[in-house]
Amino acid sequence: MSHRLLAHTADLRAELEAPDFAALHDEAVALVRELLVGSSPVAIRIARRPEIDGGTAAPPQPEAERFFRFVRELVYLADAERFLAAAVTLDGGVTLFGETFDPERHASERQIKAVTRHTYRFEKSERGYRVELLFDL
Amino acid sequence: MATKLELERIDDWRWRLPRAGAMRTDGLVFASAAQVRDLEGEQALLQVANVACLPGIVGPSIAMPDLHWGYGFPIGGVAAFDPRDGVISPGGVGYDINCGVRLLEVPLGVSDLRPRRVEIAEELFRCVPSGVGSSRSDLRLTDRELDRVFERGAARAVDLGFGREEDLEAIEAGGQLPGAEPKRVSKRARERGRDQLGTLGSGNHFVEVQWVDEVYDATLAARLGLAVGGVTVLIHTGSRGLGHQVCDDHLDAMLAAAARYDIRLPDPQLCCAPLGSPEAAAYWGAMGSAANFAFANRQLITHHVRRAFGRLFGAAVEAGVTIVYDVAHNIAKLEEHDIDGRRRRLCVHRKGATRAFPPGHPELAPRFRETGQPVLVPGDMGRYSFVLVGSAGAAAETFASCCHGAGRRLSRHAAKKAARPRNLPRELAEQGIVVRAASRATVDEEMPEAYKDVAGVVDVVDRAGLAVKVARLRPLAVVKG
Repeated sequence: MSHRLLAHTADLRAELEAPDFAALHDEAVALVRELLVGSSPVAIRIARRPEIDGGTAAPPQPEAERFFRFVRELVYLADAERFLAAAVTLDGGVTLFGETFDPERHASERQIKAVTRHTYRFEKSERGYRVELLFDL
Repeated sequence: MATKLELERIDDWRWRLPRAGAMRTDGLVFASAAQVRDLEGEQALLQVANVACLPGIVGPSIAMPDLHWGYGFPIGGVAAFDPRDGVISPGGVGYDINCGVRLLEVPLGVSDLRPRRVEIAEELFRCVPSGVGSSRSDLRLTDRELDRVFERGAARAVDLGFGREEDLEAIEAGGQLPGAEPKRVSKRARERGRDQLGTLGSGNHFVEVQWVDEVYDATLAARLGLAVGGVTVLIHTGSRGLGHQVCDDHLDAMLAAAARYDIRLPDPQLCCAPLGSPEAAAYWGAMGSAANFAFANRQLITHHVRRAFGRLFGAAVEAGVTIVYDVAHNIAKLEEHDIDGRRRRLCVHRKGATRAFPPGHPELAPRFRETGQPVLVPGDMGRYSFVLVGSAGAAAETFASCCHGAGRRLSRHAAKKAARPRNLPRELAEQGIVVRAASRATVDEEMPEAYKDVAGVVDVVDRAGLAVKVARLRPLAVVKG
């Protein structure tokens, strides 16, 4: 399991690797937290259960699209609710655990405008998952 | 686009990217030979070519000298589309709808301000929220009030006491784009923007107190209220989370629309819909709303900048702060342009590019009819920014568009790594520049060396005849997110 930043002139490109789909979500949570507040500890105080796939009325989404929408939700919750995710569980849906941004305890590293579909890569192999994401900052 | 991309030199400042593969038109790049060398290995040229593949494009896919790799459209890209068979693309506007810059003139001399630059930096940092989670505790808009802001933009902010009537004539489109439809703005976008009006954000956004250190055209400078030794404030921000969400909301719809209308996309971030389609109408109404939110955002920040100067320098200075101009650099607009001798209405996308109407343009407020529209080009926080005015060359060649900034040369990651062993705020302080920021990461990522020298960028547009250099502005105090 890992995530690392890749070169991109204007924005922020990152690569995530994980052995399974759940661990990939863990990496995304860690990456977004790091981008927002650096190494500041984020406590588990509240939970959010966002509708990643558009709800029961929407057709099932492939994993690549579900994962993209999950990262997009992390960005949305951080901006709209100042919610910082520290952990995630996949239990049929998605449950995020974390706390609200507190300028007294959390470093303000940078805001994230969006995760973009430009250069989005989602690869699944016998070794697990490899994903490339580009964030607009 | 598997074809190898090679530029053909037209003259010292113009390069053609010949039509190839699925391109429907040429690319036209404004750059010096050195800037072209810098593009080698960059994806930006590929993005210029990708834009040229979109249906209904009129004229070339244009790139300004601050061209660099974006997502979908390149940053520094301009493209116009015919409303009959062309498209609108959220990727041609960007997430930060109507990100733009506003320049204020302050009735002080640099000698008045320099001894108090730390105080003004602190005061501005305190009254303009920035960084992660930045919001205003003193202003949370109801849906009804948001609707008014979406419809009236900066004018609504003035109605609420955040400015003066005369401010509006110094803002592109009077600070109020037509076609905004509040009903097109989602609940999620509203939630993101509800308490963000009057906030800066982070990344490359800033409020910068500057002084005019050089004037290139004294007559034009005087007409714009600029003189050597004068003090200015440059504000760079946009539509905040509200605009980002509007873009996100409509990208999904546009992806589906592109498939439905059989539009082949070289990059999914270029997803688009035919102008005149329901999807385009929905985006147009929401984009206009977000653009007006951005105009109102810069208007509120202007109010707080005025108050900050008032607290430090008195009521007369506060009353004397005027807007030089406010211009968008991420926008799509319906404009009329002369194409092959015929007046045509076109949808012009500017992604990291500035409108640059020439003297005499009927859409300009009377006070700019003789000068041409001011073009504001920020540089980096260690060097300088420039004021230019649009000229006839831009109207003839670039759908009246010009460059918008320096353009990055280092990735944020590389900049942060380079800055790690240094103390940038101290280095800048030694140059007489105070930096106040919510985050060290932002200061590091925005280090001066992360950007190209903006002087080279404005020299190209000046010499190519797209705009005329008027004045250079040096930073004194910088507030970053």
